[in-house]
Amino acid sequence: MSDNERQRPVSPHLGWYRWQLTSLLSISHRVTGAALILGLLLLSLWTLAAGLGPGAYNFMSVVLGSWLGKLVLFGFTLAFFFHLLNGARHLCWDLVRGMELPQVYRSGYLVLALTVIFTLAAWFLAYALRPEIVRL
Amino acid sequence: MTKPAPHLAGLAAFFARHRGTSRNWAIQRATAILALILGVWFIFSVIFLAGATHDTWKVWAAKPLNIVLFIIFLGAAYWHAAIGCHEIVTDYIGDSEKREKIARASRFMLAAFFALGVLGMLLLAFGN
Repeated sequence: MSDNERQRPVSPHLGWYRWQLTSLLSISHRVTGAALILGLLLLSLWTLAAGLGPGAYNFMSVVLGSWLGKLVLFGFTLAFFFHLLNGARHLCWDLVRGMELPQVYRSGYLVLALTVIFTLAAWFLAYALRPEIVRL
Repeated sequence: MTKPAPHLAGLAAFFARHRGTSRNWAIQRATAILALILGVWFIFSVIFLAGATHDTWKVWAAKPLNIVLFIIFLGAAYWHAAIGCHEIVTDYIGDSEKREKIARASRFMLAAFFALGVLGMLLLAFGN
């Protein structure tokens, strides 16, 4: 393979664009996606710890239950809801819905608002519904 | 041969349309829809069980439906993640050999962590 064939063109870098809601949400989708991969690795480790027994599980609970652990989990919750909601927005675009610019802006602000609302609601519910009182 | 159900036929046609380079595009959408639906299920499970004792989680994990849904959720999320990794690498690394090497390594790592997650779930469900 010649050097020219190996060196394929790359995507224009972020510095090329003027910041606006559309580009901000676009790069946020990628950044949250990458962050959620780390969240997924953590989920695997958490599940493995739970599978290994109460000792490993309780250790994981102490780590994730610390203020730093909770902060990280809160960040993952934000990333989760943003990526989920903005992903749904992308799926709508795949079906050629909501592609006019005013609609794109409206759905963009909606995604941001719902991300915050869903994240706060999830944490509120998690604290409100203590597991001891939930019947399985 | 019996005819597949209409929605399965639609899904088969969807993947038949996306052979070759757009195959990943199609799988990215399919895994996104799965991870979206099961992600909502999973976040509700976590909301209900956050801070629960190990015994409570064991009760949750012993239900066959939860085992199946969790493994499908994890599989869809990891497959989606692998495609996402490839996409990011493709956008920012011009050297195609280096790029494929990184993408392969990331696929391998993600598959290994998927296996660890499944193992953990099965141990929690069936271990003592």
